[in-house]
Amino acid sequence: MVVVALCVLPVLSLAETGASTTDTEKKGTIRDEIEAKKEALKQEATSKTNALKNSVEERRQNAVSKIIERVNKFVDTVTIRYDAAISRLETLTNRIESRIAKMEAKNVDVTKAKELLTEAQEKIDDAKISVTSVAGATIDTSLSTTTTAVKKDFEVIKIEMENAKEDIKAAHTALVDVVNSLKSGQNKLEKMEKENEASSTTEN
Amino acid sequence: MDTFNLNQMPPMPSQMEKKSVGPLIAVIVILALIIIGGLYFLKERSSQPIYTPTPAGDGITESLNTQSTSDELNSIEADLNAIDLNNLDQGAAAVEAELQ
Repeated sequence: MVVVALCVLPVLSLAETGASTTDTEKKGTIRDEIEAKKEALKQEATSKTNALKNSVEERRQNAVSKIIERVNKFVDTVTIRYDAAISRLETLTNRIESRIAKMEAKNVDVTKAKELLTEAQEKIDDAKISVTSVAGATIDTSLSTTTTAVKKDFEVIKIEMENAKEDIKAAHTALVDVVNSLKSGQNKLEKMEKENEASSTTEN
Repeated sequence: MDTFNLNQMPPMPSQMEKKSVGPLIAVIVILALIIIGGLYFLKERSSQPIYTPTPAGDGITESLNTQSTSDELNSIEADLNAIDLNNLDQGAAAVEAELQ
């Protein structure tokens, strides 16, 4: 019995050790597989999140670009209007100059009007400079990348637009002053012409 | 005893097949016509020039560009008074609203 026991027991113990080793290996393999799956899922989630982030960022950038485009288009429109207003004032200046020359030829005192016209021309020049700064105030898409930045830029542009408008208004008022200063001389001239006409009619 | 009548016999299988194939062919023909019609419509539509509205001219600019050439004082005064400088930046509020 003892001999049999001595022969069988070590074999049994060896068999048990072998079985436990296989179990540990299996568990290890399963653990590794789970870890690998976990890692793969993590990577997939990260890539999906990044893709989503990129898509959101792209959409946001597109929206900002559209707003910038809209603002720049508006700036262009206003610049064209300002240029047209200045051009109109310059044409009016030429017409006033022509009128002054005709009145001067008829010995009407136009000294004050000439002074005022020079001032008006200076104001028109100032307005031109202001308009140039408005024209160059478009927003750069590479510099303004957020709506907040575009808002800030537009605030600056608005101030420049307002300044240019005020300069154009000042030039316009100056021309109105020139015309007003010419009115008394014009009235005198018309009166003289009427008197001359009347006297020539009486003589005839 | 029942007499065997040839007229009461069920139709032959070949006749049945002919009957079931007829509507099927009709359906196929109708579908083909619809598809051809659709393709023709799409082709016609794509060949038509795309209408792109031309941007309307800015009324404010146009009014500023229109004035007399006379050097009569009344005419100059009228053209000076006709300028509305307050609406030169018209549209700023709309742009601001878009930025909100």
